[in-house]
Amino acid sequence: MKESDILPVERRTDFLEQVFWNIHDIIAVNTRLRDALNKRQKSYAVVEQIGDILLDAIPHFGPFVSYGAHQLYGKYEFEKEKSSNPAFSAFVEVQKVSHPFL
Amino acid sequence: MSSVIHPTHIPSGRGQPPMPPLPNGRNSPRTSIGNQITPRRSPIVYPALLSRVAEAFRNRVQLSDQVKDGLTYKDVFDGREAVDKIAYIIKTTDRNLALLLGRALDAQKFFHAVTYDHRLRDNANDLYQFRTVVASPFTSGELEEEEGSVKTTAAPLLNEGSEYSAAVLTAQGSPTPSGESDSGFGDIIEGITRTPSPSQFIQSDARRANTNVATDDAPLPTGVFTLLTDCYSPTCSRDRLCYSIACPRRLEQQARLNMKPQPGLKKQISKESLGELVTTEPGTLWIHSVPQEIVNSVSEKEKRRQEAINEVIYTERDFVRDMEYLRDVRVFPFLRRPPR
Repeated sequence: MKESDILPVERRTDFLEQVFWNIHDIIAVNTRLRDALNKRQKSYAVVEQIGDILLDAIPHFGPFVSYGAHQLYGKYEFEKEKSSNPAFSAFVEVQKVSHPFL
Repeated sequence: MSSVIHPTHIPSGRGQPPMPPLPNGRNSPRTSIGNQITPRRSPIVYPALLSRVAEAFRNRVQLSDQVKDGLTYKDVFDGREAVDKIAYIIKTTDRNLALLLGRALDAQKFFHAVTYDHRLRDNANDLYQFRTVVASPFTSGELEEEEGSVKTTAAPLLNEGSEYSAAVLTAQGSPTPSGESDSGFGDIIEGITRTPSPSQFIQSDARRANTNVATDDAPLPTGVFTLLTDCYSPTCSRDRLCYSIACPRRLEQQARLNMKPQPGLKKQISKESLGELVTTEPGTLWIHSVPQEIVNSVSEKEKRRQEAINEVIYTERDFVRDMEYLRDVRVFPFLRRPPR
């Protein structure tokens, strides 16, 4: 089964946005935080502190608030698609087996 | 394309012209597969199993009456059509590969040239017919009905002495009944043509007639065409490049993935397996990441603090990796954007 056969093209982008919402912003925020932490860890064998890094990062955590607020809408869209689109439902079942941790 | 096939000497039946060389299944076709093998859909049957291919072939090939050298042959097909059908069944565009597979079938006498003097060729002028179980060596299956010939078994020598009988004896080369049922893997490629002596022939055929085993359908060829077997690696599939450079699928995979065939191996970091590993594997401990002197120089409390800090950091690394994985595997494929 191909992804292109599961979701109609006209709804695809909208559906992905509803379900995954601002995942790209979240990745961006956390990539910056991760890089800063990695840099700190590489610079010191005994890390003096990481609180300052977290303090710098937290003001940019807005995307988490947005994601959390939208989570239920995303779940609703996901469940709606599962019940109305047999191809998508089958796809989800297959993925549960092949990627159980997602 | 036949020029690619390396000659391998095949012992032929007596009186026959030498058969065209049977390709060595493992080595010679490798080069010829090259870039031209670009099957797009799944094969109709598992192409490595000769019995499956034979069955699919028999169900699909169109039999008709055709004239060659002034003689009309009944229920025959030509070599080009045979190669067409096999290529269709295994979904390849490589006619040479299909020809090799067809020769593996004819090596077991699944079908034979109407003239009995050559192997399968990709040529519309060469005619072939399926083997039928011939009860009497002196009655050619192409001339008489199967049932009729069984009755004549008791007195084979009185059977008209038709001009075909000699040809049947030498060229049909039908293996003895035991040879038929036992034909195992070894016979597939070697294509051993056993030509029993006439007395053996009559004996065995009489035995077969007595036990009344004559049937229209000769047994299907059996065996594994190793060139078309699946890879042993569970991660090797049609759409994922095999890690093994010797994988017979690799060229096909590269062609499908629009990759340039590259000599030698290149290291590829597998994102997916990294993600899987990291999500189930605890991060390395701080005490294992720094020299022993440093571990010794700090208090127990500081060690615990360092482990806590380390945990925050590797958890953040894992989180980013998981999110990237989610994006690459769950979002990008739907947008038809490559994950890399």
